[in-house]
Amino acid sequence: MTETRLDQGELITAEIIRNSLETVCKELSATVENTALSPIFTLNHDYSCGVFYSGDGGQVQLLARDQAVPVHIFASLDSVQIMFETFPDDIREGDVFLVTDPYMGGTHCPDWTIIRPVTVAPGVTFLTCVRGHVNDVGGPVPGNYNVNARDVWQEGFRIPPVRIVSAGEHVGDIWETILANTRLPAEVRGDLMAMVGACQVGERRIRELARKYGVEMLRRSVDYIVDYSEKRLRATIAEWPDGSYEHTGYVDHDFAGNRDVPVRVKVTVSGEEVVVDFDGTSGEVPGFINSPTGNTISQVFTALTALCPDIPINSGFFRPVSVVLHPQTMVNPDPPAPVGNCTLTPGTTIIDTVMKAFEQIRPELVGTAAVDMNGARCFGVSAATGRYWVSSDLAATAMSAGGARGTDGWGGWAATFCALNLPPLEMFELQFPWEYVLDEYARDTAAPGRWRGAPAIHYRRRHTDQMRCTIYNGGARNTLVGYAGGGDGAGNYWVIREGEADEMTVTESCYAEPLSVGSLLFAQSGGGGGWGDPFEREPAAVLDDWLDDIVSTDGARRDYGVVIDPARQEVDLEATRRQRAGGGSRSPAAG
Amino acid sequence: MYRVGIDVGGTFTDYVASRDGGRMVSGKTPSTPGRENVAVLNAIERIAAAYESPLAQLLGETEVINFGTTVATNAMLEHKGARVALLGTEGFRDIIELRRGFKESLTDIRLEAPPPIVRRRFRIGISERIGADGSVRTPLAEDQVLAAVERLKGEGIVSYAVCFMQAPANPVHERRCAEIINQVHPEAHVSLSTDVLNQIGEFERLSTTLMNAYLSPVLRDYMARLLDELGERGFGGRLLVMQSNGGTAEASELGRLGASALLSGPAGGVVAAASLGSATEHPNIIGVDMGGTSYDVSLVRDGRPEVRTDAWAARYRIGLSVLDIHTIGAGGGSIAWLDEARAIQVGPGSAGATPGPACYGRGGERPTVTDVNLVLGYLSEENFIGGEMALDRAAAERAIREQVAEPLGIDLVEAAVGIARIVNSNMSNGIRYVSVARGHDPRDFALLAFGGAAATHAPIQARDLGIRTILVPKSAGVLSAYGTLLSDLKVSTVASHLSLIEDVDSGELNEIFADLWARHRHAVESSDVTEIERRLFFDLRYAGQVHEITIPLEVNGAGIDDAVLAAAVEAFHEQHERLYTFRLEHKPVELMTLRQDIIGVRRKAPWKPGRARGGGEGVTASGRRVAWLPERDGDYAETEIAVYDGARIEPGDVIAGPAVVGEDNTTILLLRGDRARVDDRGTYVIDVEEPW
Repeated sequence: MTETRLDQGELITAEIIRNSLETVCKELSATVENTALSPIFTLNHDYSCGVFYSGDGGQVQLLARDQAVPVHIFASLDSVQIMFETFPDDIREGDVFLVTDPYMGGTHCPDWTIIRPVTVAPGVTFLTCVRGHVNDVGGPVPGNYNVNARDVWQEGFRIPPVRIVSAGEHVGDIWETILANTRLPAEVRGDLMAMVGACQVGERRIRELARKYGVEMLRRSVDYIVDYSEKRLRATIAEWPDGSYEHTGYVDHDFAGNRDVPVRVKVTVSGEEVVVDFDGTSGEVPGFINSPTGNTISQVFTALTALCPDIPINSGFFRPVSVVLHPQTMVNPDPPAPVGNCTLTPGTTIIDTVMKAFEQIRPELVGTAAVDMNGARCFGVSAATGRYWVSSDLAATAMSAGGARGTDGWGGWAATFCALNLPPLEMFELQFPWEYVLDEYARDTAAPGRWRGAPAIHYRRRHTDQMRCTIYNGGARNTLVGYAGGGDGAGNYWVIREGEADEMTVTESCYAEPLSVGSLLFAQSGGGGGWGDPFEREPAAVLDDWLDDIVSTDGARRDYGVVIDPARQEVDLEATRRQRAGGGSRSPAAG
Repeated sequence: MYRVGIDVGGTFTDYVASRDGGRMVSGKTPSTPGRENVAVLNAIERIAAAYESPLAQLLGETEVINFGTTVATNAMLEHKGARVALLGTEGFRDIIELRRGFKESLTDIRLEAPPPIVRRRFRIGISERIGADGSVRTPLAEDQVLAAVERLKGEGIVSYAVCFMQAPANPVHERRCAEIINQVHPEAHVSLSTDVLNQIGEFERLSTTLMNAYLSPVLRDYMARLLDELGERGFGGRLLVMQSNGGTAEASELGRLGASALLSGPAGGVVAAASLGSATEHPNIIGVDMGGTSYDVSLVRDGRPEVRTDAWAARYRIGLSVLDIHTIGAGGGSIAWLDEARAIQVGPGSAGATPGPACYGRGGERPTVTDVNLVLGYLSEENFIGGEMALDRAAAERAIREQVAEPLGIDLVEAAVGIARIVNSNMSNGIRYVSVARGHDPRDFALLAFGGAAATHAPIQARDLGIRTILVPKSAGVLSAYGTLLSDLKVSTVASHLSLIEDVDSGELNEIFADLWARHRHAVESSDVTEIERRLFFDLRYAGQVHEITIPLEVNGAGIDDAVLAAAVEAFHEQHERLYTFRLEHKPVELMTLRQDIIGVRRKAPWKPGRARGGGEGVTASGRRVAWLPERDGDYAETEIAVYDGARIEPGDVIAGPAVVGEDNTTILLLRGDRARVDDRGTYVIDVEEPW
């Protein structure tokens, strides 16, 4: 911890500056949302904003973030650091930089990071930053989820740190080079403008703060801000019992034929510090689920933020935690290993595995904090307009919320990923050639628990134009795990060309499968794990679920040991007691 | 004839009345939660007493009673709305739980779901489907509707929400559904999504429709009861209610569109802010309303309050046009506390009215903003709320010392100053959020402080934000009640119309606007309406964007034509650049929604302050005391200040800071360099010295 001696009055000023920086992030975020063009930004909010700082050219620190997708903002720290090191003495007023390379602090190729350094005095540089998922960044596969990739070049265009705005002027040749390498240049141009615009909105506010409080106070406040989070996390860790806690989770497959790929985590708590060691995790794999360090560390911190939900997130939060990543493993690959799916798999497995380790010491805090492991990209040329389009419909993959102590799972994703929004279905029907038939909870799919997970979503749409569809699915067998005795989630799978002669169920992947006019696409997106023994669930809560068609009569008996009399619409308490005493079959949720 | 304005708040019910546009009467009476009408009748009795008129005679001569009420808000917060069923498209029962993925916390996996307005068992999927182009893809299964309503009727349902996919493209199924419900269950309320919020986006439309179905029966019953009780006592005039959009409406409208009353309570204050601002030649106003638990910030531009269409209320999305009121947990009762890292935090927890701040002496032991204002010397121990309440300074000091000063190892004043700085900064950030973050420069605005406590903090916010004028009306403590009398009848109408501007047929738009006008203008026709205005707006965006900017149209008699369209597009480019730093000239501009506000402009009663002394010849301070005032460098210095009795201050008087003025229901703080002059309407117009 840096020792910053602020008197009480200065401490309050620093607290005021901290709040102001959080407000700056909100303004950045609102600007991007209101101005970007592609649905993945505007409807799904797959972007994140932060304010960073570097003093005297030193290590870059995250100061504040807003409405962030966790895999973006933690990893951005590396991207900003590398940008800063790439242009050590060559940053001018009004410059804006872009970096996208997964091996330069990135996650996967489509996550682009825009950085605007704001130097308020020599050696005092703030950086406003937006990282967003761009809809297409070239490479062989529209939308960049290349299930057949065997190296990173097969996943899209890699961009090391480049200056895209120089002293306030757009660098035309760089923009055109970048935009020549996407299938959607008009859309991506608009998104880039939105991200650059947001960073400039942030710049104005940073300068106001510098004017108001003075550079020296601002600089000292930065130390306070990060120390504050560090202190709070250390105080929390100090209450955790010392010891080592291990767990191994498994990724269904690596898209290259390897199955049940292990993620091994050993969490060691000692005093005020935590070490998360991935020794025993699989080596690099041939398929596109290798996780660059930025992504791996992001996933670890996602679990930690869910364990400590009220500590402000900045670099101070990272200090008491060491993450040990062994070289040439799936969680610390070398270029050019392919990485495209890392945010989903093994990302989700990393979060769940870290959580399972903490379950051994803090069961009351744990639960599903992951986004789950499935996705699809469809693309085509509109018969009506001749326009090329690429779509990611998050409605098909909408669920991951699990139970937690005191709360059933609800809504779509776990809170940690709820900066991502689901699309308005009516809007998507106007924008893309399909019509929704179904988007609803499915009966008997919620992970049982004293507090159950959210039910799986069943999704079905009918196509009004032809297209091709690539699916990258995980979590069909190794589903989101349950906690403290709760059951596992129902898992994910897809059915393409449902009801046709060549109907195909997809539990792992398919590539550019043709879908014709009138064809159906079905998806199940499973919910998160349950929490606690389902046989301890209040019978009245099970009856409510039965009345709400979340569980069937058989499901109530099997999963919860609760016997419901359907005619009287009430719980048979005596039969329930017998059923629960017998232990029942206690199977996990039926898929 | 009398005109009466009443604002039923959580703690107090405020009232304002005028007779023949002449002498005004105002005051406060304690609210009676759960039995709002008791306080309302008490208020009217007080008015009658003040005019020395028998109650029946006063009510008989009252042409209008205008209400602001928190009944709708409370019904949402306490989950006491009507028993609602939803008829929706089969296969889409869970839109309201999925909420497009939105959750209020980004880290808390234990956050509970919002309490349901309608449980899943009462969300009925009906076989039907309208396509995005408005075509009927699956016909409405009328037998399913019939069977459902017959069953639901027997299960205690009194209100139906109907929201079908893509209904804005073709409302035929929703309308048929309403006919069936009206036949089978005629006494039930029906909210059709295409009546409540006729725009695309199923979650936002559904959420708003559900709130409407939940609240309308409550408001209908409440208004009927009130009208009965007033009628029994001789009232034969009109009962009007403030709406969230800043307009007012007949009480009967609220029974149909209950969701429009969600911000009925604070709306009056915002309307009064707009009106007072225009009267003092400050058409741009930032209104700050600070009561016991919250600090509400609103913005008035060119004399018109800003509205938004993407608000949340009690964890539900409301897509109706509502005043853009940003609330932060910083009221007089907000509690100061230390977090795990021993940093001072203020709010959102509040001591409320009971036990209230420690200095109220009602058993409160935790330090609040009011306690800090007392310890720093801004409030008077003897003269709080017009002398109705004495404050206990020792209790305030004890709370601050024990819970903040001693744990931090600092002295009492340091702790009080620390709390004051934090809460003032929270307020300034709240103002930034509605101004700077929306592309407005606060230096172009005057700050209007009202509610009990805002005027004690306003000089600091003004300096933080570079604002040079503060306005504090003598009516600050009852401004929301006064505002109800200043509001116009207003209906906000909406029609979805998705089209690129270059493809727009202006004749078609004129027809849509004319149709909305014909269908809704009756709602603003009334005896005291002097003229009816219509204001037209487009919601525009660059093709591909999903957030629109609402652009007012400059339309003359000819209606919409190419020139109007071109001007709207240019205004959109400009506004986009102002808000977001850039414009996209190469992108086509897309029209999303047509909006038409129909406004019945009413006669207004200007505020008439009393004139006993004849101001202007130099008012003298009633005393002096020592206070801790902020300085430019952020430190606080012990300063001797003048203390004025507001009851003795009249139009024309001038007061220089540092000083405090104790008005009946608020205390005005003036820092060194501030100079207040009281205008003819009794508004303190305060010139602020250079910003810090």
